[in-house]
Amino acid sequence: MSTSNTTVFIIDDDADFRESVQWLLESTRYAIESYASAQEFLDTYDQRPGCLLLDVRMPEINGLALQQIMQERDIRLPVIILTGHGDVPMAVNAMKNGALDFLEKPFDDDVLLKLVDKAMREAEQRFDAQSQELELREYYDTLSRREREVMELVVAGNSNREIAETLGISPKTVEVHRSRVMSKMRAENLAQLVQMNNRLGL
Amino acid sequence: MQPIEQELKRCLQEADRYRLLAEQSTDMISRHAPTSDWTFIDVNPAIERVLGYTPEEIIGTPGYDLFHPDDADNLKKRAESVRYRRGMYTNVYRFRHRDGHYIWLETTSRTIRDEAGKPQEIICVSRDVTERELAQQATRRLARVVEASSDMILFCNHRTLQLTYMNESAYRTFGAERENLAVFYLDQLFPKDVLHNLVEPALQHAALYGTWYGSIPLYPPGNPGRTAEVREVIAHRNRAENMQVEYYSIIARDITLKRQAEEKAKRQQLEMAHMSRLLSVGEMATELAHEVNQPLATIINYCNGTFRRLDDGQITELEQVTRAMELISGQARRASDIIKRMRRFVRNTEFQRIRFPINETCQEVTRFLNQEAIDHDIRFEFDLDEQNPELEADRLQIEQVLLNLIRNAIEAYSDSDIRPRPVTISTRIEGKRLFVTVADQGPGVNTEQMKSLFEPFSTSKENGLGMGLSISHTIIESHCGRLWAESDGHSGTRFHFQLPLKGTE
Repeated sequence: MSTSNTTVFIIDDDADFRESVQWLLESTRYAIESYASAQEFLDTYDQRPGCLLLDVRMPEINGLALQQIMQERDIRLPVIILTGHGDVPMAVNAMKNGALDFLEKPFDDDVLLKLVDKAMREAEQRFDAQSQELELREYYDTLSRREREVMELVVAGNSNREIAETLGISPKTVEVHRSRVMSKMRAENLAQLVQMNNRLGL
Repeated sequence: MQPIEQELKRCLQEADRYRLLAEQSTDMISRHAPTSDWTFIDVNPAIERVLGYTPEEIIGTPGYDLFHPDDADNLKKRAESVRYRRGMYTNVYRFRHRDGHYIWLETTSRTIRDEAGKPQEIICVSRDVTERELAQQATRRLARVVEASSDMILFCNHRTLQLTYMNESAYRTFGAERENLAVFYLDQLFPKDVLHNLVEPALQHAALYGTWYGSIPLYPPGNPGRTAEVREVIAHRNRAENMQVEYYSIIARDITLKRQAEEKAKRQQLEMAHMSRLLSVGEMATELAHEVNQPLATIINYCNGTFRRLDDGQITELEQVTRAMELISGQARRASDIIKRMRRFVRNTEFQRIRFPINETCQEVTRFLNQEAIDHDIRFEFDLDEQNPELEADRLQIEQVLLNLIRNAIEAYSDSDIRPRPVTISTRIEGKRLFVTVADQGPGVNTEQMKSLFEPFSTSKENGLGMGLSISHTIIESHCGRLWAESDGHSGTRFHFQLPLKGTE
C-alpha cells in the first residue's frame, strides 16, 4: 500500500498499541516499521529516511534517552513524541531535546496523519541537507593538510599575502593551494566556500 | 434442829461447791446492777485472766464504760450480734482490757427479777472469743472477696455437677436473678461436646493435680451476647476423708467487653487498612490512568484505521473488519481488567480468611505495579517456592502488604543512578510457616531511619504519608506473623515477613 520510500518508525513497548498504530498507518501511503524497544530500533536502523513515532515511557532506554543517543549518532529522523495522560513535563523535555511535536494518547487519526506528513516534509529537508553535508565531507576529506590550512585562513578573510606570511610560504604557492581547494570543494566563489565551511561545522 | 442444821450444812457445802465452781471457772461470771451503767456487783477471779482487772478493782465500777463505743448499745439496737433465747441474751461485742486494748467477749446474760417482775440484777457468763471472732471475720472477709470478685466464681458438687454457689459476677454473666434460685448444673452451661471434650477433662485434671489452668469458652445459655471463659478449676479435698474431692471451685471470667474491644480494634484496623489502600491507589493514580489510557488509545486507533479503510474501499473481505473488532474487544477487556483489579483492591471488606496460592498473588501484585516498574526501570525477579504454597489469610490484606513492600522497593532506587534495578520477590516454606522477602539493591536504609521505619507518618518520600509500612506491620501481626527489615545502609534493603501457613495455628 505504501507508495513512498519513506518509512514511519514506531517505537512503543506496548505491542497492542504498536499494532494498532500500524493498522492505522497502513491505510496511508507510508511504509511502517515497528519496534518494541529503543535498542531494537538502534540495532537495525540503517539511516533510511522517514520519521519516528516514539513513546516517551519505556523500560531501559526511554524516549528522552533515545533522543540523546540519536543526537550522538547523528540520526536525524524527525521525532513525534507519544505521551500518556499527564506526561507534560516529559513532553516539554522531549521538545527541548529537539522533538518535532508531541501527541497525547489517545489521539485523533487526522492529527496524527497531519503530523506525520509534516514530519516527512521535515525529514526530506533534513535528509537532503544531510546528504549534502555528506557530499561536502567527502570533498573535504580529499584536501591535503596544507590545503585545509589554507582553506581555514581563506574563509577567515585573510589575503593571499597574509596567508603566505602566516604559513611561511610564498604567495604564489598559496595561490596554487587556494585554487585546488576551490576546485576540490566544487566551490564557485569565496562566498560558497564560506557557506560550505559553516555547514561542515569546522 | 438437827435436820435444819444438817440441811444448812448441806446448803453451805453446796454453796461452797458453787462458789468453787464459779471461782474455778475459766469463764468470767459477773453480776451487774440492772441500771444503764451496768455496775459490777460481783465477779469471779477469771476476770483477771480475761480482762486484766482483779475483782477488787472492778467491783463497784460501771461496766458500760468498758464497751467499745460501736458495740455499747448492741442490746438496745437489737444488733445482729445479739441473740435471744429462753430468757437469755447472747451478745458478741468488744470490751476494753485493763491494758487498753479491746477483746471480743461472748456473753450470755439473764436478768434476775423479783416477784413483782422488777429487775434485781443481771448475771453474765462471758468468755474471750477474740481468736474465734477474728478467724470468723477473716472468713467473712474472704467470702466477701469471693462474692465481690470480678471473676466469676462457682462451687460445683463433684458428683452431681450441680452448682452450689455462684458469686455476683456469675449471676450477672448468666443473666440470672439471685432471688429466683435457679438450679444450675454444669451440663446446662456447656454444649455436650464442650462438656465432654474440655470441661470433664479439666475436672479430672484438677482432681488429680489439684488445679487446672486453661481456657474453655462459656456462652451463658440464658444471656445471649455474653462471652466468658473458664480459666481455672480447683479441686477441694477433704483431709478427713482420704483426700477425696469434696467440691470444685470453677473460676471464669466474663470477657464480653474484652471481646468487644478486640472486635472494635479489628474493625478500626480494617478501616485503616482500607484507608491505606485508597491512599496507595491515590498515589498510583497517574500510573493507573496511563495504564487504562493505553488500551483506550489502541481501541481508537483500530476504529479510525478501520473507518479509513472503509472510506477508501480498501476493505474487500469481511474478515478484515472482524479481525479489527476482535482486537478492539480484546483491548476493551484489558482496560476493564485494570479497572476491576483496582476496584477489587480498594473495596471495603470484612476480614476474610481464605486459602490462596501466594506465588500467584506475588505476581498479580507486580502486574498492578507494572507501569510504575516501567517508569522506574525496574525489573521484577521471582524466586518462588516450588511447592506452590497455599496460605490461609486475608488475601486482600496480604496483597496490600506486598504492594506496600514492592512499591517501597521500587522507590528505593529513585534517588540513585544504580543500574540494573532488580526487585526480587521470594517465597519459602519453613516448617509450618511461610517466609516472604522483597529485596531491592538500592542505597539501603541507615540505622537511624531503621528505628522509625514502622512508625506511622515516618516517610522519606516527597508525597507519601508514611502509613504503608505501619499498616503492613499491623496487618502481619494480626495474622500472628512478623514483619521486619534488614539493611546494611548502603547496598539494598530486604523486607521479610513470616506467617503461619494455616491461620489457626
